[in-house]
Amino acid sequence: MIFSSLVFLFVFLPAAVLVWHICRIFFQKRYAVSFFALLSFSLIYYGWWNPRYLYIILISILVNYGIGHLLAQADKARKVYITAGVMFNISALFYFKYMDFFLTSMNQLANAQLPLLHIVLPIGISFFTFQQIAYLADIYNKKYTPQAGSLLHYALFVCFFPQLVAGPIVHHQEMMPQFLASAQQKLHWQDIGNGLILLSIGLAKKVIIADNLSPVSIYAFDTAETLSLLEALFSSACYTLQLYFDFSGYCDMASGCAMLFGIHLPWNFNSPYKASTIQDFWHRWHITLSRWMRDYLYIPLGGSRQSQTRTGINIFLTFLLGGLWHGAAWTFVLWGGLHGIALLIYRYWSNRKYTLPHTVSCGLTFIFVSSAWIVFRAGDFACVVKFYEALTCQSGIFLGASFLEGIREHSLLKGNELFFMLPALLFVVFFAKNSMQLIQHSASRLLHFWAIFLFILSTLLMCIPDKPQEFIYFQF
Amino acid sequence: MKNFSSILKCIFIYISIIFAASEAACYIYIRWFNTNIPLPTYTFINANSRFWVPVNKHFGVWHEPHSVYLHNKACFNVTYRANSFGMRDKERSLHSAKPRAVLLGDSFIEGWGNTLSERLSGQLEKRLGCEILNFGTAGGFGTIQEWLQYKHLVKQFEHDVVLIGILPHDDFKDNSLEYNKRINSDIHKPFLKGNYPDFKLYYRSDKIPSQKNQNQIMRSIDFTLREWSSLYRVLRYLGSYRLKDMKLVPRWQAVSKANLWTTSQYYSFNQNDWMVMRYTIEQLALEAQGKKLIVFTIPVPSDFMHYTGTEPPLARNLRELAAKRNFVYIDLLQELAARGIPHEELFFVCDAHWNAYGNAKAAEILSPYIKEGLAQSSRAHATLPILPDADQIAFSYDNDQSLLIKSMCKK
Repeated sequence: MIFSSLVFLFVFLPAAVLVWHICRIFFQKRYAVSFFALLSFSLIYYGWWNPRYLYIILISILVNYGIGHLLAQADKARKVYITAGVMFNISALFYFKYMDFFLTSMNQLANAQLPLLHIVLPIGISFFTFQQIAYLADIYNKKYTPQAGSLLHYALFVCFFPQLVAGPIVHHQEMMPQFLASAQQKLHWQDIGNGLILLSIGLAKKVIIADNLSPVSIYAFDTAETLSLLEALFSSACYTLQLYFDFSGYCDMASGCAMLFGIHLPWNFNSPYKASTIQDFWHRWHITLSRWMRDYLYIPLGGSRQSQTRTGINIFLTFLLGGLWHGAAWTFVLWGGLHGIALLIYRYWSNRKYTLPHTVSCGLTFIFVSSAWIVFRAGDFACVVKFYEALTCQSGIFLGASFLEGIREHSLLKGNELFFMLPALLFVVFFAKNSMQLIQHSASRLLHFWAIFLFILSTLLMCIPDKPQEFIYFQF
Repeated sequence: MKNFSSILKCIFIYISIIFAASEAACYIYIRWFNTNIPLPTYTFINANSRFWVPVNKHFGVWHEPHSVYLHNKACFNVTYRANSFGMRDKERSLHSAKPRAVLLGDSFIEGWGNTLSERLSGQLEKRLGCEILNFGTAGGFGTIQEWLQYKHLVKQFEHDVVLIGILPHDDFKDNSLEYNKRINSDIHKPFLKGNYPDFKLYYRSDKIPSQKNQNQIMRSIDFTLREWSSLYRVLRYLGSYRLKDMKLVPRWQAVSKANLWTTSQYYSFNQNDWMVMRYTIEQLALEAQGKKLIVFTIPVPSDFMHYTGTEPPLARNLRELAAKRNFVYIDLLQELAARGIPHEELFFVCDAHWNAYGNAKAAEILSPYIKEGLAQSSRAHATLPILPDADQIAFSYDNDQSLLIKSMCKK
């Protein structure tokens, strides 16, 4: 049940919002009832993908909650508990997400024939695992003390469905107080209004833009060995924009859904293609992941408190692991490594006070990021090589008739509209306000008109059979 | 009072915003994403115009010469025009120096929901490079009427090949006096009374009724909304679908699987109905002596669902009759099933008539037989154009795929 499905939008979400607000009104003082209702809906949402996943998340919640309490109460065995907690979470993540990758790599390196386990990846495991590691780490560092008898509260923090399967990676300290406040306070109609607007905008980004670009980029990457320079650039642009609008759309929808419950999720996406440096890019793209990596990986490794070399290693390692987090494949590791190298170059550059004009800097950053997305998207190194060869004009320069025909066939738009859509989308990502800025600065009737317009158009597009496509970040 | 009026004002503004946004979204949707839905024409349509009227004293339902009709359904919007003979066709001359064929049948042959070039005769003309005169008409047109139509109208036109499209799903009912009595239909229509081979013609209503001009308000509102509102168009289109297993499927597909399409007339027909059909085909064959007669049967979705992979009883009867009476018989059900084409692709999403792809597939199957018939004609040596093989024209992957994609989009 993805956000951009009819079941979610017209059945599940309205029911969940209605039940939450009814419980909130009638059980204001007994907020556990509201929590329980919302937790139930969240578990239904999670179990919809596969009911067996429920065991995994429930066990994870119970174990982490238990360890958290032991950590809070213990004096001497704190290191044991934190080690056990982190190992539990990492082991679970490793087993479900990386075991087959590990076995495949061992088979290739050692020429072995270890059988693969074909483990089905529980949806959202990367996200709720990281959230709980952060929870345990903060208790260990005495930044947070869990309250007694708050299992329900904790479970709701982990399972809250708008952020459960693809982030943002929320912090317990920013979420748990909000649940309490929302359950006990008056309804803010502005939250409902803004939530619906964000939902509409996010839905439109996903259904109208990202889903239209997806078959085109699939087609392009499948024919990577025959691409000319312009075809490769076109395909790269399509994927760059598809990923942007897919993730941006998801973030908007997640925030919008949460707002309907009076919960404000942390901002996770802030016009990343407007970034002027690679560091700025990571302050704008998947902001909560960057935050987590910084607070729970980079800083524990030593951060920038040590020598330049060690700092560089810390940065590079952080990005390598960040790349690996995105997927169990060496291409993701390479992608992370490329970003690590880019950030090191940026640090070297900025330490020497070198500067570039803002426009040039933004352009270079965008070119680097788009080029790196090729590695991110390619299924294997061979595809990466073929794509980069295409960029060096090995298969010609201009757009070919068969490529154009294939694009038209795979695009949901009829005719040549796709070729006009790309420049328009590039204009939007570089110059237009993002959705958070729109709702913060303007709640005009014109915005309401566009929100309704986008919602209806997106719903109609969802009605085309054989259409629904998952969000890209769901696979992580 | 002020608060109340400001609330009312706010409500009015938001209703207007919702309506305007809905119209705009639906327009964009139709214009760029779903060309299956016709765009509003922003004109006023005569809601009282009728195309199929029982005006012919011999075979009943026909079209008034030069009449025009806008056939507007959720997934197609086609203007039908009748020529000076009442055919839904371009103007045709009685005489022709070149070999040509005539095509008789019901709404499938007429091209229900299709333009002239998309329907069967248009597709055949493109493939064969010769005239295919289309005498098809909707309105409950069975083989009795086709025989009489041939006898009293079609024979006047010079032709070399006669094509008859039989729709088993409807033709038995259209021929049946008992069925028409049961549904209380008293329009002027021919039937056969008696027993084979001594049938006698009988007309249910002696008088040909004059066309009535009924001013139907709801019909007018419906037509006006269709032509002026994209939202209404989209709602009508969505009305062609039904929610089944959390997915939208065309209503006729969903309905057909829900026991309303339980029978197939390829298998379920009684002996008397068969004798009537047999008699009319034999009479038509007699009338068409000297010309190549090609009879083909048209399957509907329930026929595909009932098809077992072996020759159905009706097809066997027709094949045996064809051998006896020296005409060609083609069963499109078996031919289409053998090609492995999912039958849903052949029909409109909002209507169980052939879409352009369905017509193209039928033309692909029939054209070799027609080509042979035209070639055998005594006038063939003089005038048949030299064309590449029909396979090379119409079996080309791109043509096929573009029609399929266009028709698939309608799903």
